[in-house]
Amino acid sequence: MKDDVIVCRCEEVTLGEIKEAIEAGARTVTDVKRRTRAGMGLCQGKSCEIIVQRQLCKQLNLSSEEAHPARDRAPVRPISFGVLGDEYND
Amino acid sequence: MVIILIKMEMVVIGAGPAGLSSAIEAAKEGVEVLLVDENLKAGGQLFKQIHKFFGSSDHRAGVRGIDIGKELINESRKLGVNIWLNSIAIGIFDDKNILIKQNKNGRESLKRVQADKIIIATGASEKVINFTNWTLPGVMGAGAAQTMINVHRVLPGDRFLMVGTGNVGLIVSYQLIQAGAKVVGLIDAAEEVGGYGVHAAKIARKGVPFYLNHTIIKADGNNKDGVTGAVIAEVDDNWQPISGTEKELKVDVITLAAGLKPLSELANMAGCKRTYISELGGWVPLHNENMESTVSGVYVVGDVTGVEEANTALEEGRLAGIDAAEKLGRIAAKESNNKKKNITKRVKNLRLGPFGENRLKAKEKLIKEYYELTDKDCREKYDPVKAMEHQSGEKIKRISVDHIDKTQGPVAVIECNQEIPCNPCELACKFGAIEIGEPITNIPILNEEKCTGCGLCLPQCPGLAIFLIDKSYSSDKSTVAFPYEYKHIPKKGDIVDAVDRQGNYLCKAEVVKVLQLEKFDKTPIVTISVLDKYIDDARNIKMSD
Repeated sequence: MKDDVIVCRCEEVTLGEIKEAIEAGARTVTDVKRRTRAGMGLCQGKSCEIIVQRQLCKQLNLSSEEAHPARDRAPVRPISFGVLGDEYND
Repeated sequence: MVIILIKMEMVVIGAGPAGLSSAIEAAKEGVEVLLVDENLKAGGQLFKQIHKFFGSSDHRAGVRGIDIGKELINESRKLGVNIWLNSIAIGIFDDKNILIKQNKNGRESLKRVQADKIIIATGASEKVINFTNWTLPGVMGAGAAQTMINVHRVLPGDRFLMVGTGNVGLIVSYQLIQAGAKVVGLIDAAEEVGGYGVHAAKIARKGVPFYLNHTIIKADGNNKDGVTGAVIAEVDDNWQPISGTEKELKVDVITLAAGLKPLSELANMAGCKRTYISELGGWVPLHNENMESTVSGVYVVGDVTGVEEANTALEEGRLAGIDAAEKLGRIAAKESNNKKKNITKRVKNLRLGPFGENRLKAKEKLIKEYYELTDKDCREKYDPVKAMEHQSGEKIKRISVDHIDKTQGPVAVIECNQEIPCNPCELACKFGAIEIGEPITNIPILNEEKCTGCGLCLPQCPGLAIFLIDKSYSSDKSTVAFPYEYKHIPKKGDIVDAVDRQGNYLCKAEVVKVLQLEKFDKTPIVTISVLDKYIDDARNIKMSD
């Protein structure tokens, strides 16, 4: 697969960037996230996390079990600051 | 900012088959349920499933998913389930606090809901595979295409390539054909079709080719026109494309049916322990046979704890709903166990055969890991029947007071079955009806002929192991008296929850007498009346403090 194939579509991170991050020392999904922003967009990694996990397994020779998902945090769906700040409540 | 706090007995997150069935079962027992779903309509995937279901008559076989969905929604509404649609649970925090973005008539606000029981029925999302140009318009999940045609009645293109031949790939291909599309082909890297042969046969009868041992290399097209074609190729034994075997297919939509991934963020956030089981879709929260996760009071049901199908999701939901109702004191343990047993049997049937076998094993593994992680000894309740069996060395089915006659009047029942050094009961009885003798570790023996039913032994027993049973109370009711050493003492006439020897809810009971004498030394004796059928088991009450 070519390096310019997109992995994280929300943040437009390419496979090449993921590869570089792992070569530079990233060992987990979270490591990759910190270095590339993959998984930090609107969908919070719902699509790309599994691709990043596959790439970690491939490059580091890990089993699927060893490539842990990132920690889940609220909000699990996008929410506007208006609602979060209770702007529309009486 | 003050976020409004709402207290609920049970909150169900996700109104698909698993969520709906758990809400229904709990509401049937009188539990107050809030059902939250992010979609505009309840029913989850059921409304996309215009095909008839497999299974036995227990599982509405032959009925279309969409009709099952309608029935479930009607039933839950009839039972008074609160349903918040277009509303999103965005997080679970300490003490079972759920933050929900509620949409009420188009107005969004944040609500904090605290629940005694949380049922997580969030389902699964589609797994993606990436290839050159997979971000072009026209590449989508098979489930997304299914939503477009079956829910929104929009055909997203004319010529489709389906990637993946599991049941989702097969069923959606068939429905695309039904919707008027041309399915150019199905590809799969495996050498065999993954889903049911009968589903594959339906498509094959339409002349659709299956490209097995094939993978997708790239999508052709551009951002303006979207997908205009696809390039596929054969794979070798290591699943790598073999150069020179590429084929170009003229398609405008590429649908991906590469499996589903459990949507377990909320369960993870709630602290539920998880494990990796590839047969179930990857990382899944652990649960016991009642679907309760490693966090007490938090249940996981349906695809979130292992990708299966709607029937198993429905049954898992029912298990959790009944178990939660039982723990909330709305259904007697006996009745609940019977129901759960039947459901468990039916679920097992759904996991038979070559397609279900792996899921059955995977689910067994999941439950095993649950018990490895949780402290089993702490979870198990003291079982008086087992204790008595251990003591007597005989097999006892249940503890009964069958020996007491309906006309007999009050008589003491001593449920003391371990050799402990203790004899206040012997001394308390002025009529010499209780005998322990020497040594003091002897088990007390009651001479019923001498027992007058005065009840003076009850407050004297440090083990609170003596009860006074009166079957002559009324034609269909008996009374049981027991010591009750708690802060809140019921009053005569109160209606309370009677519980069995393990604290499980049995039935409603009326308090007919409360005796608080000085000589009882702060051990009031409470007498309740219950229907005769509960007299073997009713041994205490539960008061809301």
